[in-house]
Amino acid sequence: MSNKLQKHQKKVNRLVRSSIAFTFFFGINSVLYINSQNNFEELLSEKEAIRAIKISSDIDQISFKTKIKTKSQACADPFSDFCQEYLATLIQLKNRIYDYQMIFNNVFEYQKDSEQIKNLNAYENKLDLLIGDYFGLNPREAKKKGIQSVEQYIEFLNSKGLIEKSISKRKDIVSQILSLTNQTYEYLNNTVSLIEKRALKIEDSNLRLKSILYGLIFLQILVFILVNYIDLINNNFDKDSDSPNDLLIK
Amino acid sequence: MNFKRKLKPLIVAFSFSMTAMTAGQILLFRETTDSLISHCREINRQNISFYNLLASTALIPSGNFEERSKNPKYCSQFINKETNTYLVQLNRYKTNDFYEILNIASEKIRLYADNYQILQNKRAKTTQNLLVFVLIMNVSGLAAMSIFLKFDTTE
Repeated sequence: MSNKLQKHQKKVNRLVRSSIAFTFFFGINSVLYINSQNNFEELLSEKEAIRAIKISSDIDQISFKTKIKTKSQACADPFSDFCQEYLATLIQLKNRIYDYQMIFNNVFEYQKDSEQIKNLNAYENKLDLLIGDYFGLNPREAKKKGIQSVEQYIEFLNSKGLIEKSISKRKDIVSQILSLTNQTYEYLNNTVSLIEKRALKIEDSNLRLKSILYGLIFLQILVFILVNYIDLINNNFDKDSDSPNDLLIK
Repeated sequence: MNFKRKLKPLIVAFSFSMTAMTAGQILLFRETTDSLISHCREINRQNISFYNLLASTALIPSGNFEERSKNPKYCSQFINKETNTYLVQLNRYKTNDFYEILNIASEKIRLYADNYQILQNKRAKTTQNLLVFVLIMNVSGLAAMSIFLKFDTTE
């Protein structure tokens, strides 16, 4: 083997080793990039959920409390439409607390047995029991009985005469429901504030993602140039020539 | 520095591939920005729901609701100059009347919504053009490569 060919092979081997090393770094970087991209998307969803809860919780709290107060006062006669509206409001509140649990589970990625979801679930269960105390049948039992709408629910209660008759007891239950609403929203706001404090800043996450992307681009260009350079010098190599220039023809 | 004659089409093929690769990287880079624009648009959608709720309820919330529904700083980079001028004009208008504040906020939300929609449409068009460009560069690269292979075979 001529000296020129040996020299050429040595150079190509070095270039191939470098390109394999850079490809390895590129691989690591792409895994990092995919991971950062997913984290960034999750962070955006988390921020959206935090913001949605923060801007709506105050209005929800005020609106539920006002509705509960006015509709419970109007629900003196169990056969009136006001009782149906009152029951509908309480079921809406119960469903809203369930929605918060879903947000905590799906967006904030809390496990179902986490303290936060357990606490929200406890508020939901307590509300369920209080509805049962007031109306004589709680929504969970109503569901078991196959009741699917508020109309069917109220009809069933009236037919069985289940609604609590004592006005003072009813007043007491309403005040317990109002207090429970306050506690739920206070807990929700505190937990969301903690999540917000703990969450990364979007600007930082975006900067990290872009830095990894720049690294990815740099490595890709480097590997591309190296591989194509090897291709070029291989094709340009003339092993039969005795020229002292072993790589490129001058 | 002289290359063999057969290598000229190979260099052209590399250049086309390099251009296609760069365009692909630009597309990847734009994807990150697109996620952020969608996030800002989602925040504006939340504001639409929030102000609709405020407008339909007889209750005036305690606390500064304008502060809560404010757009994040990182979203301001996506606001064009014309929209920004209108927003500055609206911000200058001061009033204590709740319903007037609500109307101003609605106008601002509308401006943001239009801005994001125009921006996303423009970007979608550019992305489409870039994708076609990548396709053209790839095919051109292959054509140049075939010319190189022809020369290589002859040699």
